[in-house]
Amino acid sequence: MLVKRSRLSRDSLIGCGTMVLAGLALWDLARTPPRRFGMAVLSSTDYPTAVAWVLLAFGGLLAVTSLFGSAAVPGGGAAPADATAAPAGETAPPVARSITRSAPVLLATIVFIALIPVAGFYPATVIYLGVLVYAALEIPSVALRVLSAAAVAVGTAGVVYLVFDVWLNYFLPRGRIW
Amino acid sequence: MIANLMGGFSAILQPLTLVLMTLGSVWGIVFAAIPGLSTGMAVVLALPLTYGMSSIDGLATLSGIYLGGMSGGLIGSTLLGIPGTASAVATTFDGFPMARAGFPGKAMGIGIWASFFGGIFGAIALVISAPSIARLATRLGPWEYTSLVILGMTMIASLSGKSVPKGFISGILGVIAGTVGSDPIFGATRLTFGLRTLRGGLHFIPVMIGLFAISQLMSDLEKNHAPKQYSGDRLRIPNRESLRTIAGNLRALTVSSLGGLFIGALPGVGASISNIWAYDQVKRMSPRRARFGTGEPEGIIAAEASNSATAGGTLIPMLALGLPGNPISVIMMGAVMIHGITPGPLFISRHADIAYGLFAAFLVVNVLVLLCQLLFTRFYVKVLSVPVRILAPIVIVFCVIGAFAHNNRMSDVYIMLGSGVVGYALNRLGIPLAPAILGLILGPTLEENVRIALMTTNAFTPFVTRPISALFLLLALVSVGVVARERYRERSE
Repeated sequence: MLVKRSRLSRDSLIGCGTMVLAGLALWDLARTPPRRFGMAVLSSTDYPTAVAWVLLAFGGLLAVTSLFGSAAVPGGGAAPADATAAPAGETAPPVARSITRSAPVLLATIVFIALIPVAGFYPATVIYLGVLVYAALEIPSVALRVLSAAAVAVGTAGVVYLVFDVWLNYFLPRGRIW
Repeated sequence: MIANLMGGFSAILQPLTLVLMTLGSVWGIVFAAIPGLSTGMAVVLALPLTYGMSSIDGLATLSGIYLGGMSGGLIGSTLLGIPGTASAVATTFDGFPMARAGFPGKAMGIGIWASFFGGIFGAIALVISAPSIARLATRLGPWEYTSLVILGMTMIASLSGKSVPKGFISGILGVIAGTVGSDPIFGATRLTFGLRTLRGGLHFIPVMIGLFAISQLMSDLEKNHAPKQYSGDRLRIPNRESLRTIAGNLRALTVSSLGGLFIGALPGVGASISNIWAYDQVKRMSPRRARFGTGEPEGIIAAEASNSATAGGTLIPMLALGLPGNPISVIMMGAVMIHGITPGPLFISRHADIAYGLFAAFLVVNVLVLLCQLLFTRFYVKVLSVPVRILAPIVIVFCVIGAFAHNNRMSDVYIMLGSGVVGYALNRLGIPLAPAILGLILGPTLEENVRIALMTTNAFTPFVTRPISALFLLLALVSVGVVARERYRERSE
């Protein structure tokens, strides 16, 4: 039941979060001086303001409907056949997921993008791919793993260089190092 | 029309263009074949490569990717039992059992040829109908166009998954994101929160790359698809036998191609639905319905002909009306706009050379995809064995290139990363992402037309008093009503 309650509150939280976002947009629009000329009925801020109000309404709708949904679940009534199933109106993740597999890649991507202005696109790419491919490979020999990862990293950077810099004359960001 | 089409063929049948279309086809097939990657991702990542090309070369390459993607899904479905894309789910039902029974080549052959015939059918329908619909649409004023865009946005309801309010929240977030930066009439800045980076607005290319590619890759890494090896060695495709099988099932081919075409032209639905719909219809009509699910050729024909015909169908409203019908056509529309062309009623008449070049490309690409499928099957099977955790960082490098190459600005790369993180969070919260992209693309068009309409008449009444505008609004209401009724019925069941 505890699991169920925490799931039930998820959509309410999404609804509230949406209302906060809409509120932020309305606050920024309210402090922006509107621009209007001649025959124009709508000023520069009227349309986004209307859209933000609609967003606020939908956020409220989601929060309220999910609250009503949770209230409608009988407290002492018969439990549904699948106790882990998402309640009506909620969308459960389709498969079991593990954030431990995606979080390191996301973190590495953030570092990679931060490294581009410093090291330049190509060195940053070689480091990024080298590290992640090395971690992903399941080869017992360390030397072979390093070689394979380096081949993928340098090979990809080389192909990108040939296609963009040489063929298309399109220069990718240079950094302070290269 | 014939003269224009001939002009289109002469522009397309150049050596470089043919090479680019072939590479595009292979790219699309590979992305669709690998579970976890998608056709949309293939189109988005190839965009930066097309910046330096002429409009026709760029669009022809993207057509190759799109149609290659529609056809490529059958490789994973048939050989691994894992649909590479949602449009190839029904192919798994009979393709995989046939391959497992020792006939992988035959299963692939039937699928490849059915996909070819379905694709050609969709392309011919596109060439014939899009110019006529566009001619009619040139009579629309800003009121009708506003209502038409509202009708197009009702597809948010269909794209919403299980929760319609969440779908609308996603769509409205996209519309708001489209208003960041300068307004389209006066150029006044809004919603920048004082940040200089946001003054230029949130362009849909970095946002699209972030939302579609980065967030999808993160989700795929969580699922950790295990690499699969295909052990079969009988991948030779028996072309004559495949063609004979298709000739013996012409009714299945016709019904599924027609169904795929019409479903593709409807807003909010696409190949992910058409392949299952066609499979179901053909199964109902077939005297061999009891054998469906065990390797019945009719099942493969239905699924593959319908999803390829859908590709032509989705481009009809996109090119003729400027209304994308499904997430991939949203991306295709964005790609067309990158080349300085705004799809809509005037596109075909004002840019006849490019429009008919695209039509010709669509016809030619079907042949190229067929050849690429028949010749490189073994190569695709090898690629299928590469795990997503190795592919993901390589794809992310291309995402960075795509975002940067759009305007040569690192700020677009940051916007892409931010969109990716937001998209990943939304994904985990069960909020669909496709409506956000739709809102981002259609939102500015809606704003522009609403404001021009109001500047012209200074009143809201023409939106409901002008018959065509009123009709579009009524259709929008009906569209939302139908989806709401379906959802209500699903829940009560």
